[in-house]
Amino acid sequence: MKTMKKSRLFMAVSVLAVTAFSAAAFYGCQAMGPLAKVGAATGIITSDQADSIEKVSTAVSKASETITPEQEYYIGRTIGAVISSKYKVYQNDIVTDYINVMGQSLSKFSDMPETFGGYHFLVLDSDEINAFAAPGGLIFVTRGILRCCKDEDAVAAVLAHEIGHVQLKHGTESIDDSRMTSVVTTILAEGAKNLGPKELASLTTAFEGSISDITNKLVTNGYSREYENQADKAAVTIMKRAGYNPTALVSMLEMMGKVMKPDGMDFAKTHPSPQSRIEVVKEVIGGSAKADVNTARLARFNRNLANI
Amino acid sequence: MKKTKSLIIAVCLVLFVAAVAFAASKMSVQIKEAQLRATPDYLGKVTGKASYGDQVNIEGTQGAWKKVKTVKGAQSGWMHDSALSEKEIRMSAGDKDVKIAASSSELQLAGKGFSKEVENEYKKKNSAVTYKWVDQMERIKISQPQIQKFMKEGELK
Repeated sequence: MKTMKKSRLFMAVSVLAVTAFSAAAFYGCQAMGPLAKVGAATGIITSDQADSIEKVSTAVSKASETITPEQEYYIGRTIGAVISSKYKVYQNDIVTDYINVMGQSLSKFSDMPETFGGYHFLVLDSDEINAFAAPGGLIFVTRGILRCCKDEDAVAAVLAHEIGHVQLKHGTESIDDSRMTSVVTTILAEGAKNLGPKELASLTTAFEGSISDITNKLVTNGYSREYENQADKAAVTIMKRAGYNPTALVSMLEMMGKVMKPDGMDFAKTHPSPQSRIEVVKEVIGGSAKADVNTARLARFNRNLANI
Repeated sequence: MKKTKSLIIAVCLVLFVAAVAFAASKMSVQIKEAQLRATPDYLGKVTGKASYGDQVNIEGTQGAWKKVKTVKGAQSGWMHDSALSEKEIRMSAGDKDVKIAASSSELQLAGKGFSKEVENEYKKKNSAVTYKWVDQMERIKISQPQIQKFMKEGELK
């Protein structure tokens, strides 16, 4: 009787252990059925390969989810290169250092403090009121937008908004799904070999397409109102966590509303009106926040950005 | 008899706990250079370093931070979630790896897809685009003490 009980108990616990092990082994098993189909249809992989992929597949809902942090890094580098080639760069070590220490400090309070290559900031020598975030954390702000800032907290608001775009992956979200489908099928076809000329050409085409998808949003059309509001909300959170006064984002937007030409070639073209953003930001901050200015931060803002 | 019973139960329990722990015990570093810290925050002292693809054992969780021990070198410290991936990262993929990576989300292949090679190809075709500034940006390193000083001077958190 005793032995019976013992063996039953042993069985039960063993079953539990085996179940847990299997769960561990199969944990995270998702797959890419649709991609396999496309791969086979385009002839990049054999239908046999496609079948075997299909068997263990469910679905990849969005191709942008297949972008690894390493790939995001290479996309970001080229986006950054396109932007810093289009504009003149403001070469001033004091300003560059100040913006980088502030930006990197802020990034530590975001939901994505770590990216493949880290967060880095650069000032563009332009009167345009503008700022750009490349995927992975390369962030650009113009002298024009810095001139709209009347204290350090306002600069932090600009940088935190851009960090918000990076954290929310708005750049890579803008890439057409078909580009990544083509990347995945090329990787399958290539296998473990080095890239052949055909595969390299196909990857480069997908890469060029991805770059233009993102620059279309960043430079030409702008993100949706929804994305801008999301980045503003992220900025408020980051600022609060870091100890900055989030109402600086409101004063920054008010300032921009005053100086921006509605039909201008800059922020006005790619962003919703400051007024409409202010309403959303105020709601997120809540009623209690005051627009107090911290004197220690104002002093170093004046010291570092005196001639901006 | 009783002793044997408790021993069997104990062994099974250990097996079970180990199995559950195994499900989420190993993660991979998904960023180029990662730092391990003494405490689960960015003000914690840096206790070690890890590189892209390095595997770590997870020994604890606190908020968005994981207490880790590197498989290679057995360095201990805290890392932020965003630096870690549940997938195993294969630095130089074999044919089998490519198959596994295609059929499941357990494995990630380093250097595949958009890579340095593709960037170089893009550079050849787009000579008007300069990477000089991007390269320079990436060289800007801000140290832990610099951030601490900045936060303190600015009366920030």
